[in-house]
Amino acid sequence: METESARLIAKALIILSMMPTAVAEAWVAAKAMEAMGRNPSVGDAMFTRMIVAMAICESTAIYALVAFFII
Amino acid sequence: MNIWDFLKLERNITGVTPETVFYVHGFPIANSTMMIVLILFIIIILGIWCKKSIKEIPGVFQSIIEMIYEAIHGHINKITGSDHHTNRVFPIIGAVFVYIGISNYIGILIPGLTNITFNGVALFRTPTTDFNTTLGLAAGSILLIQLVSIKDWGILGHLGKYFPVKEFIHQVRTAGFMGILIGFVYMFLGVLDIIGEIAKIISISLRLFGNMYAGEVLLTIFLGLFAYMLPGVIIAIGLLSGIVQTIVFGSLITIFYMLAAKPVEVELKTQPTSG
Repeated sequence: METESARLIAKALIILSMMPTAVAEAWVAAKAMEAMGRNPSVGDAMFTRMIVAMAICESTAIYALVAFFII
Repeated sequence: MNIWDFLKLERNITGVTPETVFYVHGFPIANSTMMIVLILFIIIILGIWCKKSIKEIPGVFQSIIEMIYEAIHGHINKITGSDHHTNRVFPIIGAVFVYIGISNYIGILIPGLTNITFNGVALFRTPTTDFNTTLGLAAGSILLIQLVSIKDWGILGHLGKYFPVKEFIHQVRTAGFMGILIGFVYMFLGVLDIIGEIAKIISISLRLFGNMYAGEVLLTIFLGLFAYMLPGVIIAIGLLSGIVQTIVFGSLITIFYMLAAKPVEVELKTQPTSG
């Protein structure tokens, strides 16, 4: 197999590995919405912590993106 | 000279490694280094101006600086939960917050700064799009936390976290033969923490680098597609992710510090009896 086609297949596999990140972030957001609905007074603190938790969930997808640009 | 020349803006995608602008006695100076010098210049000028014009009733500029100070101080206080640790760690973590915050935004907010070229190479480049900057920040912060741990627990206490000999001897003494096997499991978990430290450095540096560099590459691609309103989406994502990544970086460094430092004893204050 030529190098260029192997490289393209590798890039496709890397992008495919980012799929569960979307599910994970949606789950974090859904649980945060549920908690904010039960107890509306913690709304502001919960929102900041939700954003931080989403950024940490994103980090595996970011490692994959860096590998995508290097290959 | 067709219509697409007016609707697109085609550039080469900036590489992962920074380009060198000039050499100083054989030492290469990269374009992200030039931007870091500019940022330090801005911070020093701001600092001197704040020191000179500080007043009892603050004006607009001093109020903004005080708001930023209180926001960072309150955020670190929520994570550490004690005043002693906050005052101990605030100078360096506050500096990390301000430095990463300014360097994430200076490319977006000052228009045309990253387009200045010198000998065909861009003169300024956002420093956090360069993996050297983020790796240096992460490695320096983790090294600082190791030094704080050595200062609090002593050298033997610090090494005892990674090679838990006391736990091993305790297990052998209480459980006999099975204690040797359980002790070996504890030793293995302790040695695995060394790999955990390296993983901390790699994860926080790659997260910041990946967010910023991907934003810049996407902006170049979108400008090459249609240059009029479409790149606004990428710039908006860049504005949001700039502030989120600075908060995440600073919060993670504070959490690692709290895991490594010695907890402060809570003093119970007794109420004086009224006579």
